[in-house]
Amino acid sequence: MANWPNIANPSLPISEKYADPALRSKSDGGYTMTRPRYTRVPRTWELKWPAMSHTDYQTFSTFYTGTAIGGSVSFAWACPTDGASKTVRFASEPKAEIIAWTSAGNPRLWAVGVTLEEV
Amino acid sequence: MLNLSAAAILEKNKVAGDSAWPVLVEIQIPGQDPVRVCNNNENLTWDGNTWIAFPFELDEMQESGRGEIPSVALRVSNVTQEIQYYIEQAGGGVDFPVILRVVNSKHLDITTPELELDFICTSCKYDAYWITFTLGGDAKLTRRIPERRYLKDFCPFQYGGIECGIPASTKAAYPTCAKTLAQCRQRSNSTRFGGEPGIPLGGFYASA
Repeated sequence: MANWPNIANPSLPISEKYADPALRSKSDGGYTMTRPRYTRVPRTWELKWPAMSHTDYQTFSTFYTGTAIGGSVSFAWACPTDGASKTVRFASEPKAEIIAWTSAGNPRLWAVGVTLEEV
Repeated sequence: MLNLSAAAILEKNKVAGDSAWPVLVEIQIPGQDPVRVCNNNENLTWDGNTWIAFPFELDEMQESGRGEIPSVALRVSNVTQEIQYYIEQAGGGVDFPVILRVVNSKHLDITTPELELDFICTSCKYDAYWITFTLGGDAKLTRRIPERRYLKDFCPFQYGGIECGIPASTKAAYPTCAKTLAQCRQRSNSTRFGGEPGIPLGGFYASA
């Protein structure tokens, strides 16, 4: 399995969301009956790099287009919230914006945001 | 009446239950290991087998008042084309058993499913996204009974077959047969004639 590329860590805050597997059924009596539809609760993470270096961006871009092939291929990623390795894939297209051109003493920078989902 | 286990009844009646009711599908493709999948988001182990978490959908049972056998569509994901491979290896996707079972995720040790429905796959089609199996009743329900038509002057047996039983030399002399009693007599094989000359018919009867 492929591994997340060796680039700088994302900035805080890192958003972690849980899928809700609950089925709910409201009754006329005022109470709600619930049960889980699935036995596992997968998570998604939103990662942001407000100022990613151009070298890191090139590494990330190669990983996204060549290794992960968009959201097709899963890969191992070390979850920063608990340090455990997770099998994830890209849940949506990454958003990248160039925020600084290369100039004397200033490297080219990118603002990047990605969403990963647990497989 | 549906008979649920005592444990299942307790789970079913909870206002806030903590167990899921995954559907397990076993597709018994001839010549292949059974395909065992469940509509959960992680694999389950039940009755000594691993049931792979795999996307599939079940339509509602289709019933009509026109004497048709009820059927239900089972759509299995074909994005990875794994099950399509098995179907192509088996020469199509019809006439094999498909068993649907419902179990309780907290009581996977109970090897008797809470619900079990046996179907026969009556048709199969696929596209890039889904394989659609149409599940219907047993083939016995669609079989013609009696198997053959009883005709006065027509033999239903295959010419030269086991039931016909003419020797190869006779078949060489008469390569084709019109399946009538007269043709059978011409081949000295009328004792094996498969038609029913005794069926009454008005008027004068003569075999062509």
